[in-house]
Amino acid sequence: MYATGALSFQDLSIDEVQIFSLFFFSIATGIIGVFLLLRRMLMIATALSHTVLFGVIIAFLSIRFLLVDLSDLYQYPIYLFISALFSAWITALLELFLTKGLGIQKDAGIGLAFNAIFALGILLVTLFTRNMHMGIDLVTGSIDGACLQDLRLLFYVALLNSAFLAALYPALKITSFDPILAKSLGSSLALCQYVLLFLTAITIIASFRATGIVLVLSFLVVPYLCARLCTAHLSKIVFFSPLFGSIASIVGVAFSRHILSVYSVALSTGALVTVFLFIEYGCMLAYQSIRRQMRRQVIT
Amino acid sequence: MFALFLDPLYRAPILGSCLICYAAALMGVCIFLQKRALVSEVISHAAYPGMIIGALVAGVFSSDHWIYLFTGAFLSSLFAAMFLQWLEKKQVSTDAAMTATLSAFFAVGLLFASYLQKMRPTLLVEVQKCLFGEVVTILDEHLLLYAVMSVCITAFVYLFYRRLQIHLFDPVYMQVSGIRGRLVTRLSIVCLVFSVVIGVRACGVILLSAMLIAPASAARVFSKSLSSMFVLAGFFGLASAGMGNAFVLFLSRENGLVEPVFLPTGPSIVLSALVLVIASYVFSPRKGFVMKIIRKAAFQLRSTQENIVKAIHKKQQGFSDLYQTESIPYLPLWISLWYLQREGLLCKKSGLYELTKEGSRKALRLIRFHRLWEVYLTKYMHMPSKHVHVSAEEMEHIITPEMALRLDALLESPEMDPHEKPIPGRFA
Amino acid sequence: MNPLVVEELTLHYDKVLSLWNLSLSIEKGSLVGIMGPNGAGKSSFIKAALGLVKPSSGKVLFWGKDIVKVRKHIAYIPQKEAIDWTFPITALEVVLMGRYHKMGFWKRARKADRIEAERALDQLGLYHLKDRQIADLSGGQQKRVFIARALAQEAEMYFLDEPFQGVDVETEKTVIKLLKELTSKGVTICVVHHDVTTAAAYFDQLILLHTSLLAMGPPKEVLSSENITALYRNHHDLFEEVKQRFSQKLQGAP
Repeated sequence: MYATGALSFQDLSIDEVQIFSLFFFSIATGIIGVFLLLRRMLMIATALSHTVLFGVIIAFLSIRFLLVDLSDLYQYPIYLFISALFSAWITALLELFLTKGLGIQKDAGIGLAFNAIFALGILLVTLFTRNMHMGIDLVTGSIDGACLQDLRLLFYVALLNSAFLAALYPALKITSFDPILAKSLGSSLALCQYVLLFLTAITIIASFRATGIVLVLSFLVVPYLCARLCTAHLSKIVFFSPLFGSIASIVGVAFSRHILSVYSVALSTGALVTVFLFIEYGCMLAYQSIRRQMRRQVIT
Repeated sequence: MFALFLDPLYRAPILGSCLICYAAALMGVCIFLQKRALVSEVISHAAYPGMIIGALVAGVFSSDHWIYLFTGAFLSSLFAAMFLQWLEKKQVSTDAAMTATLSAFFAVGLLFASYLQKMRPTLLVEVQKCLFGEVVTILDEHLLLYAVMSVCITAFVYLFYRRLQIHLFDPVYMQVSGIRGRLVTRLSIVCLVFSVVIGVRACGVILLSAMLIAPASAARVFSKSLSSMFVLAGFFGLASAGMGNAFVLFLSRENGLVEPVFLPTGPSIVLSALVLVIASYVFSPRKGFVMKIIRKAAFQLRSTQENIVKAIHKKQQGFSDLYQTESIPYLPLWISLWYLQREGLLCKKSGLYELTKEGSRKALRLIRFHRLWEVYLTKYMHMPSKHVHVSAEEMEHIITPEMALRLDALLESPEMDPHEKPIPGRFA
Repeated sequence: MNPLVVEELTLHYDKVLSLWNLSLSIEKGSLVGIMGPNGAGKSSFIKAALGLVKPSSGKVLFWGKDIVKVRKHIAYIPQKEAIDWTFPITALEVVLMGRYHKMGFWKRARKADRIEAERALDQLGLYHLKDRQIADLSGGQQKRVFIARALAQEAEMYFLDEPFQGVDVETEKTVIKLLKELTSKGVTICVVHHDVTTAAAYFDQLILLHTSLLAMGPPKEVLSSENITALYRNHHDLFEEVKQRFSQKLQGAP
């Protein structure tokens, strides 16, 4: 199950925990990101990335008597699932209320909805935990303080997303490319949509311990963009997307370690892997345009 | 409660955040009308790396002055704004591209934040404050900057009003008819970046875009022109800041905190703004939810009254007769009868209701509208005569005397309806 | 000098060849209709002429000069889709935009401007709607507001992009009558039109476009049966294929 073979779990060093965590993180986000972009659900993903905080807080508050600190929430994945569901539901509800119920224009409605829910979440967090750090941690991510529980969590989420992909692949393919045809064929359009939303929420909650809520958006978008530059086949995209994410993760962690040991400067690993993701994309773009130039020269 | 606002400890923070939100709201109107909420998200998130890098530069010069943060934030947000414009020119400004840009800028910021922690931890604290907004440490010297900012932005909106109006409404026309728009476009970007950079102090990088959009959304409900929209949005921005700060102070007091350092102001300002938006949409006299319901109920009541008048015209009835024959619920029936009596259309004689002269006239008018409509339906819409009655029952409450005149002219003053009943004359 | 002279205009729009080697000249005071199937480049032609998109090659001259010098004499009435109808603005304010160039430095609308704007609205039968929000106007009324704006601008050349699309018969008659009056006073008007049946009655000259200039002249000549079949029967399929392949190769696609 673990790539290090005979090594016992406890013997993994912090580096390896980070690499594995980010590896599973890349798989989870890479898979989900492909479909979010194809179905143009990115705004909803951005909205969810803000509102999951609120869902987590509500879950935390409602079982407060069981736990001492918010981080212990991660011991009980079931509560994470519930809070993910709750966040997705409340986001959809508020957005519907503002745009359809009241008649606010669409982009303003979504923006207002998720910012307001996020604001409420932050308010509750600081009120009940007396501590600003919680809010900031969520935004910055805490992969530098990664522990085995996080690895386990990210592993489960990656597993879940992969299972989703494997189970629903044909339906996903049709409903993403041609929703009208899908409806006529009777493919479970709504099912794919809801499951996708739910898994996005879970993935984002898991990202609290990885890169933080703002950077997870890069991991949803950029790996897809890289993969898209390589191929137009969905099956290949779905394979390449996590791959690109993983490459950036491994390089990023290695670089972070290097900078730390050589220059004794501690950089945020989450941010570093994100930056490498963009560098990767830049390289892909450059490579593509060079290829195009060369082809053009062949013709003329 | 109001003593809080005059308290020297809180005066500057509250006034400061009011000025900040006022300026942000003005530029928010432009964002709102161009339907570019996502752009404001990107620009406000882009302020973060600027601040970090500014702080690092401050570290190089061994200074702790906020001007480095400010300049850094200004430059990076400006860069983001120009990058977005470039993307738009290349026609790649999709949601994906903008979200990726937002995230990229933030990543750069975070990258150096951890480095900053080692070098200048005090400055890092300053920057972290700007993630969610924190106004407690606003001093009077800052107030001067915010006041100047607000005045400049207000001046810009006032002096360039017409150009702004054309630019926001019909940029193509602006280009085609040679109206020089470059200055306006550039200045509005600069003003937007300014308002964002000072805005993150009060509301925070993450939530500022809501403060750009929310006051404008609320103002839109009430405005018929761009100028009133600017004025109202500015006012709503101010109000949200005031309410947000009051709420934070209140909560801190309640929790026995002497200094409200724990609660960030950004979230409470945004929530106040949201409340204002919802209140505007619900209670607005023209388009509001509540008014629509009231108007609907008023119309229903009037229709009920008219039906009662017609019923009594046919036959004098008592209350219980009306209740049974017309199947009107108790309360509306009681209210209608009271109202009709008050209007002088009805009077009560020995337990039965009777129409006055005015009342009879009204009944005849209603019957006339009803039967005219029936003729119209059968003649022009070719509807069979057994179906027209139901429609006429509803339309008689809607037809105005002016419409009746036009119907009369169109139908050439008919005398009989499709059911062979006479149509009351015009002056009945 | 003719109001509009186009010399060998070629335009790529979104990497697709839109206009190819277009050359034409329009005379003063003529009411010209531009026709062609969808995607034939009619809107692209207007956009290129007005400098809204940059052509790949060729020149456009207005009264012998470059457009930037004479912009205020040109009025553009856009398609319905291009306008934000939810904007908080009244009919009068839209028309006042046309007076922009006449307003002083501070761009405050003077009484004279307001009177001119109201007169323009009146000419289109919209005076009683001057304070109404544009969102509350009917389709035909909305179109007429923008024509009023062009009137208020006192332009010498008008470009109208599909003005009669989704508009009632009354409005269409009013507008055409107004356009003919204007041309008799020396204004030059170009209209992108879609209805072949009315084209002969409305226009002095017709331009048939299908990426290149198919025909130009009086309607009777242009609307000959050969031209129409050529236009609408897609005898241009091969041409399309060739031109697409050419574009692809230029961009280095395999």
